[in-house]
Formats: sequence, structure tokens, C-alpha cells
Amino acid sequence: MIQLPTKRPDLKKISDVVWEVSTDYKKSEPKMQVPARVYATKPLIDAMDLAVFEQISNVACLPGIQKAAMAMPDAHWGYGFPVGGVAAFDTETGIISPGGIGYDINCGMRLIRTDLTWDEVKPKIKPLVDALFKLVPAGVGAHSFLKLTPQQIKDVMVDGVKWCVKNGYGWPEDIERTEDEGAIKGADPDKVSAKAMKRGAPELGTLGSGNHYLEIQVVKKENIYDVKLAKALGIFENQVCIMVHCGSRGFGHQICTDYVADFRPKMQGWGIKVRDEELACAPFKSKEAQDYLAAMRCAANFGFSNRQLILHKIREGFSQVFNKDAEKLGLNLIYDVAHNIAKIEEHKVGGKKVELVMHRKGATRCFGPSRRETPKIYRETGQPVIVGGSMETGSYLCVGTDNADDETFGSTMHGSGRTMSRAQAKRTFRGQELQKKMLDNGIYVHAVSMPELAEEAGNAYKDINQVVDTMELANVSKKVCRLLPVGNVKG
Amino acid sequence: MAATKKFKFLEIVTAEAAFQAFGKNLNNLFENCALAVTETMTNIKKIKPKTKKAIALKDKDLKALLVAFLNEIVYLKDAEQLLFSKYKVRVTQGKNKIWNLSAKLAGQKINPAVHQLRADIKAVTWHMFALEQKGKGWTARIVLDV
Repeated sequence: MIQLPTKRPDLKKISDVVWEVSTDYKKSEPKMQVPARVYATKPLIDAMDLAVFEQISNVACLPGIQKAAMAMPDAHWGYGFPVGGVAAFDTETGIISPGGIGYDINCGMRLIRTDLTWDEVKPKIKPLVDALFKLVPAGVGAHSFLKLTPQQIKDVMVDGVKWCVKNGYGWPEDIERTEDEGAIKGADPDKVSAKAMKRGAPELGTLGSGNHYLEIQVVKKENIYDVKLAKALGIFENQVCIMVHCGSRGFGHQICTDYVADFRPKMQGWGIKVRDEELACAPFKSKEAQDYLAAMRCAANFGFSNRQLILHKIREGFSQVFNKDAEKLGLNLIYDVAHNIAKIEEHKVGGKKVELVMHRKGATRCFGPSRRETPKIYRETGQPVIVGGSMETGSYLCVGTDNADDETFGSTMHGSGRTMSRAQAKRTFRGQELQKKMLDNGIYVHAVSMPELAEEAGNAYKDINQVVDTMELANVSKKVCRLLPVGNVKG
Repeated sequence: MAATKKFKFLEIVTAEAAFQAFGKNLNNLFENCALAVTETMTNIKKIKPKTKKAIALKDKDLKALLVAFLNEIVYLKDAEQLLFSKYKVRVTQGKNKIWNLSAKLAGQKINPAVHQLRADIKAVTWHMFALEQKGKGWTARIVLDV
């Protein structure tokens, strides 16, 4: 059983923003195979959750791990892997760990631009947020606006966003603006349990709760850091954008639950020992691992579709409130990217290109302009990276760099990262008071649950500026602009 | 620990919810873990025992049986929109060393106007999991993904 951490291990400073825990830290079996690296500025490393060092060192003990187990600057104590964890495993000798992807498979971010300025939206912000709250189901027990047959749900699992567009829930251009065109190949509905189907199917096209949200944001002139990049991504001064944060709902949660239960009792037979039972994993070449991968891809495609259906409702809501077609309002998707996912990717290890099973849990893929996976429309800029901040303090749009491949297997942060436990946040803040304070600060919030709203107060999170600056200093991702919240729909 | 204490919430994982539960025997421990799971989601006092549900599970590993039982409660919250306030659990070990669980649950459909959500549980995790016999009683520590 894992022990509560009491002190930080010795750290070797690799650069101003990279800190390393050596393999000497855990020498007994199962021992560290590679060092653990934490990306952080000095203030962030000094404030880092002690459990992050413990958990990322535990990940470094897993079979077939390559180069280093990595924690991004927004890392914090999670279950098994830290949130903000990145790990690459050899496809021949390595493993796949459902807990290293997370229960909310393909939790991710979607950013939508508009042609509207804040001056045009400001007088209508309240009816706009209220309309979106009505159109996008949120909170526990919220049901899809679609009634799909089991076969249609299976089609969603395989064809993802392509299914949505084909059925009138999106524009053709949305496809190439979604990671893996919103339909990861190799998804097999036969590997998904009947329970996952029953639990998840009614939740397609719903926002969920917790830290999931739909936010109306503004790009201020002083928050555009690279004018050329901003222009190429369709961003301009005083523009209104929309950000969505959610995942694959109960569908993904059940798939992860099913496969953790499947792998755990079999690990002894595979000769795998882990330092935390939540790191339960299977040899990548095993049938069990391949089954999980095929089911996980179903959940990933479900997650992309979930956010696509929400975009469809956002377009409907803007169209109603502004009495204009969504096309005429310029509601184009900038990008949709996952931050809880496993991917098979080629990266260089020891100067040689190898195929790896990338685990990103609370971490975002950030490929540069040269990677073939980067959509053609972003071959000049690099892949957009959407970093969701707290609902009080703002978010970022960044792009990936070509250097990211060598540095972090093309991975960067996903948000600002919690510093305060949910319970402490609830004791410290009151939902209604926070809602009023935010309104005084120009942010109109429409939430289902007040206790859950309190958990998301800005002070419960790290300073997002420090987080994105860390990865810019590491030359992994580059800031394009900061987006400030003005309206928020929360489950 | 007070003799009657059923569970207490722990603040051990920044982003998640956690609790320690107590029981005078295994049946009681499983029941108190279930109450803690429900109390994490909403105020249990507001759930009326109108709808009944039965759960039957088996596993050769007692720890896995507890996790599977609690995951059933999470599953029913999403799949059938049910929350429960009454749990009657019986855990026995057969001659073949297999653990059997039969549970009777009573609760009602989620009504957002009555059941204000505190946290939407995604899953019961194995992180820092503990299940121990202490003297005549039992205790368990559970971390929930919320």
C-alpha cells in the first residue's frame, strides 16, 4: 500500500524548469526503470504536491517505460498516476494502464471562435448563458437530446465526429479540426460491456459536472502574445470565444472500471508488480491490453462526439440569441484535443524512431508543425493546445512546437492544476457567494450545483500563468493568447 | 474512534474524495462504505427508501468484492438514476473460498430539486485502498474519482 508522502525526494536541476528524481529513489523491486522528471518553475516546484513526486516515481517503475516518467507543471495528486502525468511505453516490452489514462477517457477541451466582439455580446450575455444552459444538458442524471438505437451508439463509437457531421450535428470542417479527425481507428464496440452501453448511451451530448464547463470568453488586446499565430488561428482583439471542457461521461468511466477489474487479478500471472494497485496494467501485446485499447478508443470517439454534439447546441444557442445563422456568426471550431488518453505514436528514443504507447493523464498532446498528425490547416502554426484554467482566472490557447517531440514526447499541460482539496474549497468558499463575487467581476455563471461550484473557485487552483510559462520556457508549447471568462455554464 | 462512527471523510487526494469506514463486522463495514459513497454524492437524509434493488456479486478476493459492490452503486446512479439511503448487506465465504455478497438497497430516482449534488462519482479507485480487520471490527479506506 502506498504511504502518505512526508518529504520531497532529492531533485537534480536539469534546467530552470526541469527537475529530476533519480532512479536511486526507488531501488527495491519494483524499482525505477527510468528517472522521473517534473516540469515547473521554481515557485511551482516549491509548492508542488509531495504526492506528485511519489506517484510519478511509481510510474517510472512500470515495465517498458522509456526515457523518463514526466509530470507537467499543473500536476497534482491523483489516483495511481498523478494528474498531469506523461509516460511512454515500448510496444514490445511495455504495458498499458487504464488508470494512467483515467476513468474519464478522452476528457478534453474544445475551443470555438466567433466573429463577434465583446461589445456585441456584452448586452446579451445573460440571455446567451441562460439559453446555453437550457440547450446543453448538465449535472447528474442529465440526458441526451438524442434517442439513439444501440446500433447508432456503436456507430458513434467507431465513426465519432464523422458520424455527428454525417447526421447533421456539425460542419464538415469540424472533422479536421478535431484530434485524429474525431474518430480514432481501431475502436471495437464488441470490447465494450453492456453495462458501459447502458450507463453511457443516455449521456451522449451532456456536459456532466465537477470541473466540467462551457465558458464564454474574451480575448483582450493585451492578452494576445503572438499576433501572427493568433491571426492564423482566427483570433482577433476583443473577440468572443467559447471553450468546452468535458469527457466521455459514464460510458468511459465504466470502460475504465471494467478493465481495471479485469487486469488487477491477472498481474501476478504476467509477473507484473506495481507500487500502487491503481497502476494495474497489462502487457501491451496481451489480448487483455488490446481489448482495452479497442474499448478505450470507443470511449475516446464517444468523448469527441460528446463535445461535437455540445458544439451543435452552442451554434443553435448563438443563432437563437443573435437571430443569425451560426455560419454568419463565424462559429468555427479552432480545435478539439483530449487530455486523458492513450495513443500509439512514433517518437525518438536513443536517436531511433520507435513506436510507443503514450499515456497522457491530465496532459495534452502538443505536436509541432512538422508532425504528420498535425492537421494540414495547422502545418504553419503547430497543433493548437487548449489549456483550461479555473472559471475565475482564465484559460490559454497555445500551440505545440517541433522541439516538444524530443522534450516530452510531444506533451504539455492541460489546465492550471488544483492546489486545494475539493473539501477544503467547499469549506472556504460558498457557491452562492462565489457566484455573486464572479458576477461583480463581470462573469455571469449559471450552475446546476452550488456546492460543486464552490469547488471550482479560482483560489483552489495554481497560477495558470506560471504553468503555461513553464512549458514555453521548456520550448514545448508556445502561448498564443489568454482567454478571460465572461459567462459560464456549469453542471 | 467512537463505537458508533460509521465513516469519516479524509482529505488525502487533492482532486478526489476519500473516506475511512468502520464496521463491527464485514456486513456492517460494507453497509457503512455504501453510506459513505452516497453521502459523498448528496445528503443521504433526503433520499426516501421508495425503490428497492438487489445486488449479488462474488469474487475470490474480498477487497475486489468491496470495490465491485461500491462501483455498482456508482453504476446505478448513472444507468438508472437511483440513489440509496438503506443498505442491508450479507457477505459470506463459501467452502470454495469464494466470497459471496447479497445486498438489498432502498432508495429513489434522482430528483435534482431535492437531491442537491455534492460530487458526481466516476469510479471507486484502488489508490491507497485498505481493508483491515482491527480486533473484532473492520475498517476500510477508499479513494473515489470525482
